[in-house]
Amino acid sequence: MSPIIEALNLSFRYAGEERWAIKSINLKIYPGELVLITGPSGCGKTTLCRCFNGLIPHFYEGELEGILIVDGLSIVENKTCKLAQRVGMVFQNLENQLIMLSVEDEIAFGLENLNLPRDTIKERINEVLSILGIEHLRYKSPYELSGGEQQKVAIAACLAMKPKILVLDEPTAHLDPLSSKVLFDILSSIRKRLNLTIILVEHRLDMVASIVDKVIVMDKGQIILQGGPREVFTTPIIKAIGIGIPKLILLYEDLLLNNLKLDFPPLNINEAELLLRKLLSR
Amino acid sequence: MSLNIIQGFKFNRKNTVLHSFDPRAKLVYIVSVLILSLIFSELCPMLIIFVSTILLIIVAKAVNEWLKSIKGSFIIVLMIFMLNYFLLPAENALSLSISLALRFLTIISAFSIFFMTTYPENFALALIKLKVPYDHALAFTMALRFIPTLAKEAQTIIDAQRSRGLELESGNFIIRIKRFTPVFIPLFINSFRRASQIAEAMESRAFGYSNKRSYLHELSFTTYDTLFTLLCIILTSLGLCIKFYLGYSETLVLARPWP
Repeated sequence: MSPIIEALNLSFRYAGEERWAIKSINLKIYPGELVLITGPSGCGKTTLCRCFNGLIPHFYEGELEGILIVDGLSIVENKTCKLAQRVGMVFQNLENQLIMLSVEDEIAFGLENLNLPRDTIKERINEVLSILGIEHLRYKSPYELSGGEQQKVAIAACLAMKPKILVLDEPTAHLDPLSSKVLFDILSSIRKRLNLTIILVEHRLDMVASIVDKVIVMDKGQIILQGGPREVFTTPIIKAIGIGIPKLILLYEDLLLNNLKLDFPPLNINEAELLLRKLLSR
Repeated sequence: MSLNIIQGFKFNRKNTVLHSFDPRAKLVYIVSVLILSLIFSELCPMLIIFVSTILLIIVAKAVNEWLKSIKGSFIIVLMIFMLNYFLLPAENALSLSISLALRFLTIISAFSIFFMTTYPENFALALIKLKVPYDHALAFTMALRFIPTLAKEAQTIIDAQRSRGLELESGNFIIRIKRFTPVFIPLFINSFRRASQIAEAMESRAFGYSNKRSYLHELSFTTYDTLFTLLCIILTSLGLCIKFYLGYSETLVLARPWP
């Protein structure tokens, strides 16, 4: 299988800044993967996200080096509005991405831009409203909604454009733990149903560790680790960066120091319970 | 006070005849009211026009919201009345100042009817049909969309600055305005940042993809719209005839100035 996103030595420096926001990024993301990008604030996660749908280099000015191919299109030659059908982007700020006066119009906005016929627009609105379970919000104003609801509307508005890739930049930054859990449940269910590739920038690693396929850890604009979650979270250098390592991984390592070895690092409560029972019965 | 005024200009999703009218028909109505209430300054025709707007507000099931915004603008109405009553040298100053206050009420009520019964997106569509560029119509709906957001943000900034000891209530008008500087500056800067984020989000949803675009909503000018428009035009023409051709006082005996 060929990668749906491939970066080769990708670097970007914002206009007027000396520091490279991202430097020599190499990565391959395959269709259907759920990839977590994490790292301390200012490590270049958001900058990398902006590259995926061509906001860099078309919206943000600066110096771009290297190659980034997204679903067969180079970001240099294709503007954001063209990439929008392939890459849906959900931003950190909930309210500033909802620009219309009702949820229905919000979802229609992208489709109207694509000049789709009215019937198709109506069909797609019904479809995404039911996928996200928000039919009751149809005629509400974005400012009447709670954070979690606004997030769902933002995702619905992206999904309506039928992208292959969905990028979410710190989607839970303004959500409470319960809404965050609901969001992650939705993401893991729609990825299979819609065959989506999802790129998730997140700090709450405890909540996402068990649903992601691949973890990319960034620091100072560079990728310092990438691989499966069990492998990445147990790599020693990760402790020096300042990201919230999942508590179950810390438990695993604590036990290891005391010569109690679980079969593999657990990523969710069920796994941990199973492994601990096994250990106790030994 | 200021927020109450807005009440009567906010869209209410209801199911009435007025809500179903095409925005273009309602625009014709506004123009008619404007013409009629500006050409007459006598009390009787002004009352007739005013009562007609009230009837429409009842039809639109929007009496409460309308009352709120009328209450909010009460001071202005009172000022119009007082200034004219005391400063007009005319012998019929009382009836004239009442009708001038009524003129103001009539005009804001007509706009109120329009905005309470017209979904802004449909208004934008009507503007596009009237050859206003899409970008401008979009700017209009987005401005409406972000009013509550900005109001909330302004309140947050006011609270933050107050908690650091900024005093906003005391002092005369000039001093108060000066004291609002630490509120306006962050609000202004935040708005620029917000504008950039909004633009980013719009491009990510294919804004600018093509010169053509489709629309979810559809405007249809029905027979009822035609009848309503015709009625407005006929009444306006009638008013114009009475005023400029037949002569007002000869036509209506009721129009004699009040004692």
